[in-house]
Amino acid sequence: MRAFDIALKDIRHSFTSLFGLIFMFVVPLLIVGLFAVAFGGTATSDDKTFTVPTTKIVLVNLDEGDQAIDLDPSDADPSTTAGDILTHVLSSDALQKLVAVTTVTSVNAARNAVDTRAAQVAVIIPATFTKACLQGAPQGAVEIYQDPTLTLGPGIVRAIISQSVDEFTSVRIMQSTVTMSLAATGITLSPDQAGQAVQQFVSETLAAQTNVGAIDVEAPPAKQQKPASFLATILAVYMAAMMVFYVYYTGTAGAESILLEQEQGTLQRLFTTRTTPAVVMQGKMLAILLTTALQMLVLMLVAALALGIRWGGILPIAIALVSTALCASAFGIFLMSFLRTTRQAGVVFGGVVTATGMLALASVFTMNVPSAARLGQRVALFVPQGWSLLAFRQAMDGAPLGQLLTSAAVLLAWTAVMFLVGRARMARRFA
Amino acid sequence: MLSCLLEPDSGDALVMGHSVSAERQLVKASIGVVPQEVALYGDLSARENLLFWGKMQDLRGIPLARRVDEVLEVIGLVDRQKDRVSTYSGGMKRRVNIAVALLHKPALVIMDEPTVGIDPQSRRSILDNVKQLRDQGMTVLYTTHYMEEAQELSDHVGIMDHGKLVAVGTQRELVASVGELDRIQLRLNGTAESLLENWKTLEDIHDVTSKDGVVSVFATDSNRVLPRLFESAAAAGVRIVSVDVQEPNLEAVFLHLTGRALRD
Repeated sequence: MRAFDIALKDIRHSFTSLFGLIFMFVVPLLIVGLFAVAFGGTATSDDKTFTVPTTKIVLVNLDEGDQAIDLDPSDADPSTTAGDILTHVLSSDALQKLVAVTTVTSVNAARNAVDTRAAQVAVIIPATFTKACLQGAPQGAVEIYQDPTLTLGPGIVRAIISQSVDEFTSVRIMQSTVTMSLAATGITLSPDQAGQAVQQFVSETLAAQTNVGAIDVEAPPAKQQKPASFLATILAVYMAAMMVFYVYYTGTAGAESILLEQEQGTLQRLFTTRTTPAVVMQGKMLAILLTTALQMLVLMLVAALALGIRWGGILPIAIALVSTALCASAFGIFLMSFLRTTRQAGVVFGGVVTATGMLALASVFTMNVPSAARLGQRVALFVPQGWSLLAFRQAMDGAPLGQLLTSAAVLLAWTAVMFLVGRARMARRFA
Repeated sequence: MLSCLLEPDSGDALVMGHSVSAERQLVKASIGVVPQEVALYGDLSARENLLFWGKMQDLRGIPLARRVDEVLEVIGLVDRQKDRVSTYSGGMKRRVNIAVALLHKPALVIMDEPTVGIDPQSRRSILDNVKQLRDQGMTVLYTTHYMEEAQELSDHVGIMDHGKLVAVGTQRELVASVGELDRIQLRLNGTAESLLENWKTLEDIHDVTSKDGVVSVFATDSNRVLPRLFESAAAAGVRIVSVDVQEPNLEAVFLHLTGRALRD
């Protein structure tokens, strides 16, 4: 009961400190809020779909085609070129929301449009594009001139062109394969027959592109009943990371109250009452545990309401939350057991807590860099924050309960070791 | 050690019959400790502080609330009980600091220099509170550097120097133990050298001097000597106009025992 009284007193102190409240709630939400703005605004309940801004393209088609072949005999043009087909693909209704194509006649006009920011990308189809396609080497033939500060729009244009060029290549491969197969059985195709085969393949491909669309952009499939927005999915990872980062700060700050009380003399006075050092430690641990748990609950609630973040099922998230709160509390007790004064605690905040927190965040910083992602994940697991973050991501991703329980078990092992070491050191000091 | 903050390296001490080594919880239940520095939670009010510290002594519910009311009355902070302690003056904080130690009605209150650095009114209030506690039958172990406080409050005085108890006893016993003398200053209506020589021969009188018309008589016990001084003066036809008795104080005893060298 006395431990509970000590805990209540400490919790009250934590939640009446303006500085503490700012660090516990305002800073993590502010950082993730800035991410949200950087990613294009917050996802409200009315805006749950991922939208990509339309990229303005100026296109110059210089393709002279091949006089022997009309790639699309179904239309009125007797000499449809690969450039015409590519122009048709980019201008199709299916891509209307992604790209807006304006055709110009000269390369300079196209480049000038990008230089003056009238367009974001210039697509220049060279005179030999059809021939390059028929020779099976169209890659690199189309020049893309872009605003260097942009990545998403030019990336989409490049992907569309690449897909189309790949299909031209597939025509060549199809023709070679058919010709060789027939030759092996003693049948030789005439140039007209080969041309018809190519035309039919191109027509069918073109029809398929027109009907289905070259690129299908949609939000990742959600595992919940109601799908979360793509933006919220990204923000959820950052929110979890910030939450874990600052929860461990709170755990350490909570444990710092032991040093603070020692300097104020209230700790020694507690020891002159019937309250034993063990009860004092229990009270402190309980206070930190409840404070960190409450901090996470509030952050998750606000993030869910303001940013549309979905945290997963109640049981998985409860497992992640409780194991993290326990570990953050023990982490604080452990660190403080090595210190004598609150002045030393400043060094710990700046050094140990921040450094270990940043190691844990390595898994987030590298998640979009395939070559570094695995290393980032491994590095993060050297510190307890990394396991907490992993537990939250598993809960959010709907990972199997066994995986989550494994992470929770590792966190509890961290907790047990750090608490026992911290308590033993404290007991020796205050015995 | 008596407040159970330190464990003895060897030996033992009994507080209200309980060993500080083997029965710490029983000792803690018997004592109230007033530390030298104010040890309170500044972000809590005086009442909240008292409620918290009362709970640490296993007081709960209505008895605790009543006891808090009583001690607030004793320290005179009923009106300011809901204000944060951080807004209090030094004297008010010290009064709350004392009140915390009284909540569980301990048999022994240990006070470590409770009047350091406070205004005269608060100091007087604290000294009156201590006397009140003493009169109620509570034992107060009062540590101070102010000899006049020890002299005013104490039945028994212990003098410590360099961590060792160099003397202990009643004030009179301490004075006697160091051989300090009462000083009786007299004014006579005339000069009588033979009378002064006569006084020097009386029992319990150690010395007699005269300067600027004031005669100083140094005696072991002024109460026993004074009647004889009056008798012999009357016999010699000399009239004693005024008498001033200065008994040796604790400061003199303290300096006698510990020396005049400055301490770090």
